[in-house]
Amino acid sequence: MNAVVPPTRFLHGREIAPYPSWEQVVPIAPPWRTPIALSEEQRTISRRERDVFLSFNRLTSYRLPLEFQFLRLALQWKRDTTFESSPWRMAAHQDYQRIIGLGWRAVPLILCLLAREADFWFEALVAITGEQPVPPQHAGNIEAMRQDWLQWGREHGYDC
Amino acid sequence: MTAEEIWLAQQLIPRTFARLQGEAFEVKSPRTTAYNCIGWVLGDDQNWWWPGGRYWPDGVRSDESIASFVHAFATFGYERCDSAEFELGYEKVALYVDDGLSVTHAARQLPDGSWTSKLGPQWDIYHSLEGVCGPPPAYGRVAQIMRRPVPAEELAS
Repeated sequence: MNAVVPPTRFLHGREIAPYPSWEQVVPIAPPWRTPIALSEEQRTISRRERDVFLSFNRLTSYRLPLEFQFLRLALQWKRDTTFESSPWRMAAHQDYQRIIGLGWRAVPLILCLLAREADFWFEALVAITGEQPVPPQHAGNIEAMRQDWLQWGREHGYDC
Repeated sequence: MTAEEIWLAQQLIPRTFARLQGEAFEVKSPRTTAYNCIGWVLGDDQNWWWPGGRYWPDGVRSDESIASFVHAFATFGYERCDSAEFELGYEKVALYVDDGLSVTHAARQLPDGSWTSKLGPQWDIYHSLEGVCGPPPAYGRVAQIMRRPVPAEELAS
């Protein structure tokens, strides 16, 4: 126990604040909750948990937050398809397919990018959502297709 | 188009199209996703032309084969021809294909014999016929030349 309980102080018979307050050492847990010792069983479990944790830490890769993961894939896709005319080949790119693989979690991120500039996210949105808000008369008019998807986003609670 | 954008185009384009490193090419328009190479060749700067989910003539097969694109251009009066040499009274277009014979690109011949095309969602440029050829991400090779008569009033102007 390393808790220091400041002595109670009195002035003219009345109790006053402990002296000085910032020097107090507050116990982490009350004494009746502080473990005195671990049993052999608890010690075994702890060692095993530690081994599992360390092996997991060594074997698994660092997983980026979704937003970074999405942006990294989107930038690689943009870089590799800079001069591409075919929406088929754009959508077949491996990083575009990985974005589709992110599923519904990618939809708000895609719609945010689409709100910033017109781009070829339509195949990904159709693949993930299973919906097609673009009427046939808008096919090929990229700005109209973009507005159709942004409208769909607003109707489904994605306000970018 | 700003000087920065022209500079960026001149840096990026030769990195992808190695043959343009050794020849002059001109950047003619700002980048836009509004239209692509097919739209540019056909004089439409409002639509992205491509089979399957984009703007495409009714009744034409929706795949990336040469036959499909030849049919699409035929609906605008183009016919197959063998020579890419400039012929007075005709406007020529070139179709490019990759190793799998899927169409990748189209270019239109200018009256001075050079060619113009739009590079995907990027810029329109003037270049030689073979300038944009090469392995991916360049556009492969020229697979088909087509031509149509230039209307008399256009020829006069």
